[in-house]
Amino acid sequence: MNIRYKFIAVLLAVVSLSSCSNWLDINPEGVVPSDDIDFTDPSQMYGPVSGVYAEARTRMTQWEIWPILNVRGDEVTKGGGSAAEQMDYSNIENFNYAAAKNFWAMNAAWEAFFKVVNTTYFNEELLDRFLENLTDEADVARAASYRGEIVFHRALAYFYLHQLWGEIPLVDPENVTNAYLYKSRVENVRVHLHELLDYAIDVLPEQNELQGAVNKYTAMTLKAKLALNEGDFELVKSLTDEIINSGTYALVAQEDYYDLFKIHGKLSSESIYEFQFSDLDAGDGPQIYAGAWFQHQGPRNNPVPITGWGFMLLQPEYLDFLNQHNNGERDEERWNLAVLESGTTTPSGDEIAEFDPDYMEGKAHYNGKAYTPKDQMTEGRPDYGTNNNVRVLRYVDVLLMNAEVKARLGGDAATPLNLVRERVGLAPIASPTVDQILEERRAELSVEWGDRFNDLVRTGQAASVLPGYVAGESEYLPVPLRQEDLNPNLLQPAI
Amino acid sequence: MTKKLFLFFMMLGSFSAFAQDAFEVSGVVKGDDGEGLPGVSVIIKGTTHGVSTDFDGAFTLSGVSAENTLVFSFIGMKPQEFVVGNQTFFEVDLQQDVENLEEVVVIGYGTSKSKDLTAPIANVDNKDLNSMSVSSATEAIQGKVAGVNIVSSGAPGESPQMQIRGIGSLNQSDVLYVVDGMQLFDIAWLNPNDIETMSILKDASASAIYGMRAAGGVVIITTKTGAKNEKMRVSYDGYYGVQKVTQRLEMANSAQYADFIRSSNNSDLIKPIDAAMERYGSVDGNPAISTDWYDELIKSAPIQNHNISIMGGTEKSTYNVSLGYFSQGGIMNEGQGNYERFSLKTNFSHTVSEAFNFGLNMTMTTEDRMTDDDRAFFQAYIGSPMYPAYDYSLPDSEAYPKKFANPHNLGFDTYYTNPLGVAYYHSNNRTQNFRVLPNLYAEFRPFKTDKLTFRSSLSMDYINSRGSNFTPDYQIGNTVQPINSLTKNQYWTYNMVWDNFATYEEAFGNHNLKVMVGSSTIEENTRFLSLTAQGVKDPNYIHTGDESTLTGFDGGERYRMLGLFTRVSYNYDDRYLVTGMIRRDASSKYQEKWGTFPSLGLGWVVSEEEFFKSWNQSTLDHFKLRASYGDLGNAQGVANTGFAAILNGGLGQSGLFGGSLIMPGMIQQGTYSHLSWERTREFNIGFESKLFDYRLNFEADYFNRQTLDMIIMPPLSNGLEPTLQNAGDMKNTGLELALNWSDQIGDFSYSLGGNFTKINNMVTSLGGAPYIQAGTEEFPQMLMPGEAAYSFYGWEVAGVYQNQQEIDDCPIAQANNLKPGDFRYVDRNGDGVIDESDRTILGDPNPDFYYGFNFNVAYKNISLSANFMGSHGGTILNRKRADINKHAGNNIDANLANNLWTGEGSTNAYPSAEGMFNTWNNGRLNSFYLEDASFFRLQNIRLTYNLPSSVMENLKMTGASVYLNVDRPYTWFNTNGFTPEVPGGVDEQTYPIPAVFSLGASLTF
Repeated sequence: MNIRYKFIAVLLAVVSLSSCSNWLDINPEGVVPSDDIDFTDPSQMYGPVSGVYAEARTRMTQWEIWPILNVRGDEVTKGGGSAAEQMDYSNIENFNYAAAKNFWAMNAAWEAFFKVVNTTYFNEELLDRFLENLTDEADVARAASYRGEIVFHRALAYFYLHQLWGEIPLVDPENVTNAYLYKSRVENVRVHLHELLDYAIDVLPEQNELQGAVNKYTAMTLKAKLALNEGDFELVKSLTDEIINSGTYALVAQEDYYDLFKIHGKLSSESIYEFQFSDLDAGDGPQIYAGAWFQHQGPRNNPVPITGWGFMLLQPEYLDFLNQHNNGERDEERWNLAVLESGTTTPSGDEIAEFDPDYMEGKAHYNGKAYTPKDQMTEGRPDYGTNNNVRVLRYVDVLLMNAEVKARLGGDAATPLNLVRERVGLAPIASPTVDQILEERRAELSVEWGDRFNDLVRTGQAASVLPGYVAGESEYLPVPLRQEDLNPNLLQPAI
Repeated sequence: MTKKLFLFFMMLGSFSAFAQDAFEVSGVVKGDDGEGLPGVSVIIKGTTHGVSTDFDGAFTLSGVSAENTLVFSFIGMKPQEFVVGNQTFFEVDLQQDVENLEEVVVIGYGTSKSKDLTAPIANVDNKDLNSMSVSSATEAIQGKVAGVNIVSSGAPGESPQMQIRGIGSLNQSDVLYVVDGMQLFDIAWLNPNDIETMSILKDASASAIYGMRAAGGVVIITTKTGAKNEKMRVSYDGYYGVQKVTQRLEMANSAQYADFIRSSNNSDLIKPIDAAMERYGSVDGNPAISTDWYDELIKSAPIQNHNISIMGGTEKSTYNVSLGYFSQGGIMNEGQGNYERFSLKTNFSHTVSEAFNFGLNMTMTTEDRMTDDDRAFFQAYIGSPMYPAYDYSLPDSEAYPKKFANPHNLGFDTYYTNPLGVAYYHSNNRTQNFRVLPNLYAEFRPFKTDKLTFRSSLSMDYINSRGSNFTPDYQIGNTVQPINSLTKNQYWTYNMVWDNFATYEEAFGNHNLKVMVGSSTIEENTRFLSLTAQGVKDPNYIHTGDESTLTGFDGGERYRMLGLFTRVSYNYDDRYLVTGMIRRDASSKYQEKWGTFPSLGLGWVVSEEEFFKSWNQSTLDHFKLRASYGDLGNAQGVANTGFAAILNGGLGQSGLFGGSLIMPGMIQQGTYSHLSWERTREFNIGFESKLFDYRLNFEADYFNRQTLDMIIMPPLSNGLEPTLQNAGDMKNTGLELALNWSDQIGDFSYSLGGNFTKINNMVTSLGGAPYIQAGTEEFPQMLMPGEAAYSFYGWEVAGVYQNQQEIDDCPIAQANNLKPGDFRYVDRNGDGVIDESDRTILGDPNPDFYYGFNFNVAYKNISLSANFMGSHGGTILNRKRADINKHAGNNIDANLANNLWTGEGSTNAYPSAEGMFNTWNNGRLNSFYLEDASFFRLQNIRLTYNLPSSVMENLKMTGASVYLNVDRPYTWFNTNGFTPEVPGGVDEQTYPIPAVFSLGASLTF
């Protein structure tokens, strides 16, 4: 063949290549389409559930959320290197909400919780696709309980969103990616939360074979907390009674109390839910670590591994309270657990450098519930809080809720309360008042997911206890400016 | 290295020994009018050996051999060439050069004569590319071409950023380089000595021929090659120089720092001052030590370049072999920054018959780069001056292995650390690239003429890149790397472009037609593997690390693209010009694969019209009007998935249950989108003119470029992951002017040139989103409809409260407990409250206009040239200074320390020292942190001496020159940094751009 024609033949071949559009149909590398999952393999069905645990663990322990949740209470202040550092937390602490409307951390908190909600929907879709292919009855039952685990996390994220902002948009299950939602009224948010939790309680097992995974009682505990806010004491009573009577949980002994928030106290018998982290039993290499959640609460200018940024300092009033709480004496067990005093050596033998910030009276007392002693850490890990979990729901709270509603409604409030008191070496109270029980909550539940602020608000004490608090105005944070910019519908009245 | 060079010189010596006996020639040169023409240059082709004619047009030239070619040239005249042979006397008549319009310009898939162009295309010759001592050709043309903006970088071997006609897209739109047919997006690897010509296709109607990769403009580069029947010549070009930072940022000294911090009245911040005095002593109540960190951190470093090439040709073949070496040291003290490049370039072509020829162009490059850690420059800014660089008294538990002093024993937290320590411990970061770019082409002319030509060209770009980053275990106070860490990565890149096209040319009377039809097939592949281990015993090997710490990561990318195109160029009687083009493009990145993009260019050579000729006598030699419209698609951005994806199996997607039981998990990313083509549409109108006997060249262009359906990622509320959308529109409008004058008076010749570019950038739509926030949360750079891209958004400072009376009179000041010395902000909505709604656009990093000018004067053997450039109206954020908003222990620059408000009337622009600690002043993006980035710079000055021919003869050379060169010795600018040229407009940890002082030579044998 003449070279002339060969050349033209090649040219034609190239042109015909272009008509073969399959050549162009390649997916970007490193991206796995959802369709590529083998939905007929039920052994992979826990994947979407496990993913939700990971997402909740990662998002809800973003450090910047923690001061947002807690500084409005009277037990803790933002701390840090100077008054100016991350000053907008002080604006939140002082209920000067308008000044914090554009605070990055507040927006980050809003987004983090919603990301958890969104993921529960996206992953539930995956679970549905497994379900379509299931033939075995046992697998179908398993799928239902898995859905309960996913739905619980949705409720957990919504719960804190509604604690912080009150009126929040609820994701439309029919159109999950709708970015232009309207806010829902607080009562409607609560109705939705009850629906989610009732569903979870219904399908979840009494005991989950995976350690620390959610079960029926985890969902009940959250529902009880919601009902307590609403003042539905009967409901709280029946839920907490059921949890207590199940015998699933038991308080740890007094000698183990010190370790309750430390590595040795991970997933103890009184843990109802924790975000779990691990160094994977190795002194280096990959780990699952809550990072700045611990570090921001760690002591300033202290040698590794007990070192951090010095945020979340306990208020002098709170320290005074603990020092009086044992009949005018210091509540030793609580102090040792909840307070990490600078300029002292801890019972575990860690020296904590003195930190004397000029923006508050006295030296710094860090949050002891983030303290992770060196002798419990794996050798080689230099970061504060490595291998420690973040506690979320605790049996003590259940007992105290139970005691409180019984004191309010009539009933044996003493038994649950004194379980809590005697365990930390405090004298029992024969017939406790509601105020005594609230005091016990204050002693036990410092710096835990905003519980203290919530107690003050729901019992009407906030205005008298918290300077700057105005009833009817200070309960809820303003919607972050950034969210209103992105979704003008948030400016409309809630529906 | 020295050894290799020596060997080469040995070889050169032996080549020159073959040169034949030289003799002397003479002659006379006359002009149009038959009179002797003075100042005509007569040189031996391919050399710098030559003479100028005397007042009567006569010349005598020695050292000529029979096979030499003599070139006679004079400004405004058409050059002539003669092979010497056995002729010893030459009588030459030079004709006026209407024909410099015949200059051939590379336009992509073909060439065009300059006069036939309907689009603005700038031609840069290789003299300009080698006018500076820099690593890449891009850097050398900074300030020389209208419409082209280049932001240089000081880090060794790092490519500068190049932008043609503004920000093309918010999505990626890099400049496309086409080097001998291979399409790529950087030319840092290319030795500037190897470049013969560079054409810059500025508007969309010109660049549209490269379609989907050309939205950012196209630079076509052809490399040097020999000519047929050319005697082999060997040339050496090289320089050696020193890089030196001539302008530095002055910081506050210890006394100023202590004064400043004390005014905070914050005992926590003041404690370190007392600690420093206790530890290192005091003078007059201030710390005795005052370390100038920038002084400690900056050193001078060498730079050198050597290039040897051999080229020539026979009757059927041409060849060029070029070997280059470039090295540039880093200027960071204690760092190991360095860049070294060896390049080997070979071009070969062979004509088999009148119908068939083929050729191979091949470049091989090895690069070895050590990258300094820029964080050291940032640490040098924020670091307190109160402690020394080294402290040999420190125990190993505080300083190990090297005795760097630390700020922590004074009470500073680990945000601060010794800048030299960062430089020292984090500089073992090596990248070694091996790159091969072969281009094989064949041309077939079925009719044995240029009438119809088929060309097939296969280009490949193969890169093997090895990276190794080792951080030793060390201790600088509380900055601790407890266990060493080694990361190694391997990148493998293989890109291919296969072009096939046919060109048909025909002339019927006054009608000239050129038709081109072709296709382009492109594939891009990258694969990488990255491994990390800790506790390695040998910093070269991952496997010597602790096994449990070994982690690996791999991945890659693969894209495919197809383009079909045709271009028709038509001109009637050299007066009316039309270029039409259609390109159909397909990319694997988008869901909508195919797009169609037409372009049209029109030209009218007014000066060829009879009426013009009769009206215009002689001043205006050439005048052409042109207008063009181009449309092209952009496929440079990230690929869109178009489906819900899964994140699968990693620790971040997996739940953990009790200790260390990991359940493999997955997270579905539920948001996705369907993507189609982003388009660039540009309208250009301009003229080209040549005046005063072709001595003055003046061009002007106006353009309006719109980027439509721009791929952006509008953020979504409620933490929903945003997706790519064809939702943005942007506009760039601008004006470009270029003016050149050159003339020759006897032995004296000179040229002057200038260019000016004005560009307005505006985001016109974001698909309904009110804004997209770029930058950081605290220092937002906004994309907002109606505003320039990446505008700074914050509060405008109206002044400083000067006294208590002003505070008392101002409700805003009272509400915020302000004091005299605090900023007064503009209350934009007048509601008496300063809040988010008082924010406004404070400026943008894009310059309003930029310009350059140059001159060149030559007298006999000496020439002097200089280039200047400037930029006006850009705004940058002084992020270093603004960092004090979160870190109150930061040092401040001397300018700030010296200008702080100290009492009524002292300044209305700077806050008081105390005010610098109040978040009212420092905790927000305000106009105080923004600085005018306008600058004017002496870019380059060079003095060249051409050796007289008598000397060269003795050395058996045909051309030799030596030069002294100074690059960027001085810049006039206002920002408080090392350079106002900061990519992205944020000056945070910018590597200073050093001046270069060098001595070079160019020799031909």
